[in-house]
Amino acid sequence: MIALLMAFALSADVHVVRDGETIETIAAQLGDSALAAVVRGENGLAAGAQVPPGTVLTLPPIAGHVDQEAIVTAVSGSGEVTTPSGTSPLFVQMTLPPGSLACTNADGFATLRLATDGVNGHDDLILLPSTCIRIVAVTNRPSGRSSAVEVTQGSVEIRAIDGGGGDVTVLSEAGVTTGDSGGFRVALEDAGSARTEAIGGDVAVMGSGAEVAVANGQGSRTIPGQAPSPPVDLLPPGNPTLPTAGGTLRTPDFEWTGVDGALGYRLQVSIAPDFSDIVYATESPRPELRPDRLFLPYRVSGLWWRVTSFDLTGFEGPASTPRRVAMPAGIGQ
Amino acid sequence: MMLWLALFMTAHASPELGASPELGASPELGASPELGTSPELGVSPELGASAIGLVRSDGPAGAGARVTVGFPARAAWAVEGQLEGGATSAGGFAAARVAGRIFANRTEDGGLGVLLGAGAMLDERGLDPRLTLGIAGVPVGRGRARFRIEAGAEIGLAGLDALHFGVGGVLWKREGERIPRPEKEPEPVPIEEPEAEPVLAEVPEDLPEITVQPDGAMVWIPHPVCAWAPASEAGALLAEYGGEQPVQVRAPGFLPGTVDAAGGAVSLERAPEQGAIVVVGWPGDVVRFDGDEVSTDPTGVVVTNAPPGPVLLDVVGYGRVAQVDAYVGDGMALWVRVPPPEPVRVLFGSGSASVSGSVLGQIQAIAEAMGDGHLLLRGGSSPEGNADANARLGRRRAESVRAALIAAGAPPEQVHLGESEIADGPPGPQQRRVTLTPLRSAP
Repeated sequence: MIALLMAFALSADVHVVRDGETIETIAAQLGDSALAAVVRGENGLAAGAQVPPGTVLTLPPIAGHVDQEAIVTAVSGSGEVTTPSGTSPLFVQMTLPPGSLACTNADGFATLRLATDGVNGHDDLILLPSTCIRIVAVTNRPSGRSSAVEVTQGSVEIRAIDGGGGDVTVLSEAGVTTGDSGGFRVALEDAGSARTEAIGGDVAVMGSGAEVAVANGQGSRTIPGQAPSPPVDLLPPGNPTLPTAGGTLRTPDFEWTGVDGALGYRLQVSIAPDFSDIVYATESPRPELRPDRLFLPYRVSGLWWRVTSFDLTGFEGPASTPRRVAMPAGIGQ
Repeated sequence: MMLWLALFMTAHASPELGASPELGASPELGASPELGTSPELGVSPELGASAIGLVRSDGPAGAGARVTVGFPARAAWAVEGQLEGGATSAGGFAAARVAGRIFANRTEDGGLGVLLGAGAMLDERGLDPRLTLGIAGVPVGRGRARFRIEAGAEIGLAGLDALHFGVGGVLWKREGERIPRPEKEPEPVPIEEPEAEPVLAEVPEDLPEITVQPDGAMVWIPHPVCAWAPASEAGALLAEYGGEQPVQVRAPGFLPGTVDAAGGAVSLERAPEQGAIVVVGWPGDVVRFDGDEVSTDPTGVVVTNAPPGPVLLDVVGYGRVAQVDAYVGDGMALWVRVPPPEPVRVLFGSGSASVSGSVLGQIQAIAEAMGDGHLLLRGGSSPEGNADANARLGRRRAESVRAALIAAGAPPEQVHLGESEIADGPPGPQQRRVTLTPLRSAP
């Protein structure tokens, strides 16, 4: 029990070292150049030592840095959370202090709100099915919001934030992805590699001391022990055609235009237009989907769907513009 | 040497309550004199109490209590004052000291460090100066009340005087946020760039008040807050939101509603415990829910509501009978695509157009499962012999099947004759047939 408490207690604010940064420049960013020695002390570094890009530094408590907790804002399906107080099912509004483990099951989606500044907004992370993450740090700083999570299984998506997001860093055994405007995915692959897809903003991908800039619309793969792969272009999405815009989902038939080079497509249905509350997702090898069964909530303000395309190497591109569909007349009456 | 530890937890006054001398004069957390005059202090004073055990080098052992006021710095050290009192088997004792804690690896959530102190102890031997050297684990945990442990040696003028041990708790101001409430956060302590501090929303004194029935309802606070909050606690967040659009209100088992963001009352309507099933069949299919027939639309779709639980769907049409297990979930719609009807073949003997007894049962079953579906009948034959004769044979076979279907009860207007099939491939019994093909609409 004591060990568990200590494990959670030792979680703290972090900084991911970027290409060209030194401990001194990082301390200066924190507002006090004299903090360089403290930062080294916190991380067991010798005097004068520097670290390569991608290193995750633990920061000392800094005046003005408000440590926060992640909050579950949406859940569909099932999942579990392990916090210092124990393990429980995922539910909306539960708080996740640093160190918490949040997992979705094969039927589960969850959206977590990471750092918030209470005025301009917040950063959100979506756990796709069969995904586990650990909350590393959630902080509101004078210089902006900062959040870090570690993905241990599955895939996460950081929502794009209009008007400027906070720094969000996704760690994995294969590498580090960080961006300051959201809009990226990180997916762990069976071979132990991690795939980063920039779908709404530019990100940096780091691994083995190297950093690669990945522009919006590109992807990069990190493999343990190797530098990130050079960026590759992502496929565009297909254009939804059925149901028609604003049409009724009378039969579970979805169609969209095909994309050259696509190995397959992914379709998502959400009860929120910004896809912060995904309730269904699946794949199709063709630009159409006609599931035998479809299970969706109907006491909602609306339903939206969108599609993405993925290529032969697994890179998945940005999503199509969400299309709204209506429930058939008579449901719930 | 007998070592013992006593657990002692003391109820502490919360800093917000103003019960501690340090904080009582400064009801706002960020405005305490200590913080205001010590810019290096990144957190508030910590108040603590511990049970202590004492073993003197000359034999007596005893116990007592200690009260501490600590001033943790933002980096790796802290200063604290200690007052303690108790008794040993030789008599009572009291001590006061100022101590410093230097941490090997400290965060705001705890750490382990060295404790160095200097002060004086008064006991039956008199008043003597003391140095304290020990280790301390301070404050461990993430809540407001945290653990504190320590052990150390008391060194007097004559050398090692006693060993002491302590276990207790400290009251720590910082705590994790359930939801952002900027008005309750401490004022940011500037380091060098006060202009870069986060801009915190001003919260008016008159907070929106939302009353929702039932109790336990949740309110969705729109962007930039984006959070669910209990209706009873939504006022501050709604003030922070500041928008004018009605906000969503939800409660399990009730239909969602909206309420004015400026405040108001709403009573949610209890949601009927029901779900919905959308059966996607073929036009003319007959659908039964647990034996009760429901009507389909011209496209073969039926929408129906039902109480939560398992249901059995029977779908009949085009000569097929399909049974589908489904489950109705409360508030959920389930689309079920019924297996489509497949073409069926009725086989004949060589050169025969007579419906034999062996296939009459098959035709009877098809006729009884027609629903409102349509079938197209095309006769065929094996390719040996005259082609025209074979075509006529195929036609007669189709007419025989149609007649048998009608005799068995199939509506004549739903059974249609088509062109004879032209056999291909080597001759075989599978070519002496009539194929019954489902049609979505009448030809």
